[in-house]
Amino acid sequence: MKNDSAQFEDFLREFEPKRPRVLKFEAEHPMGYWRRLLAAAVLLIACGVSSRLVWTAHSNEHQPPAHAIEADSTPTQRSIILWTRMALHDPERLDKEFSVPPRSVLPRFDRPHSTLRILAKE
Amino acid sequence: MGDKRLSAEEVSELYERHGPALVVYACGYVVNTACAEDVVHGVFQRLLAGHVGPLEYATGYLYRAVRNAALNARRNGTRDASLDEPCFVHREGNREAALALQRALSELPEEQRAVVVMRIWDGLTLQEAAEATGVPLNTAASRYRYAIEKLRERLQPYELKPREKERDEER
Repeated sequence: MKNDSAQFEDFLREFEPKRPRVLKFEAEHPMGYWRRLLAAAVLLIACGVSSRLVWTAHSNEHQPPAHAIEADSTPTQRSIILWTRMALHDPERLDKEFSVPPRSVLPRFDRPHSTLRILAKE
Repeated sequence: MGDKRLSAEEVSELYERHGPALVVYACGYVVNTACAEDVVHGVFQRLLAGHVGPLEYATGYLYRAVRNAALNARRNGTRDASLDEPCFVHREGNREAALALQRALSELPEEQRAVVVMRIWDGLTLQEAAEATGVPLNTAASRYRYAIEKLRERLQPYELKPREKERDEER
């Protein structure tokens, strides 16, 4: 019986398992971890900088430029329709608006009674 | 094996030594030989990538890992085609017998199949097979005996032919 068993085991050993295909053993580079870390840091910085730039540009879009605010504040830059409407409905305000000199325009000193001319003479 | 991770050389040695038997073992779950190879490859790639903790006993781990991966592959239905290419090569080129053996193996209960694959094609002793499967030696021995009996029943027609041939030659 035991002999039969050994014989059958030998019969089974006549069947050899196929050799599986070669497994690629790629050893990891010793600096692989640090390279990945560095690449991740560079990527993070690049993303941060670009998002900061985009955010800044976006917020600038919604803010009117400084010169535009100044232009709006000067009476001379207002549209003719606005002036006409003001003249019709609020003539007092129109007078006030005209009496306030615009900031962007220097006071004249070439007139005979201008303050600057008098001061300059003194 | 100690309490350390395996180096690439050690994994390579394990693959050389246990790879073929592990493919046979995986074939019992996934039927398709190519899929069994993929399963075994996956286990060794994980081992190589260091995704596995320290191994107490490598052979036992490999068989458990291959079993789990093969069951996952079978559940996912990856390339679970019919049995077309046997995972064995018969010394005399009997392809039919090789297919019959593979079928007979896959029909064994998995604990019996593990012991018989370890013993016959992985060259382990029954003691080593018992340690790898985590059972007492007597249990491993009886599982082996039952498995051999079942295989003999199934493979009798193929086993008799060479014996008859030997007898004819003697005459």
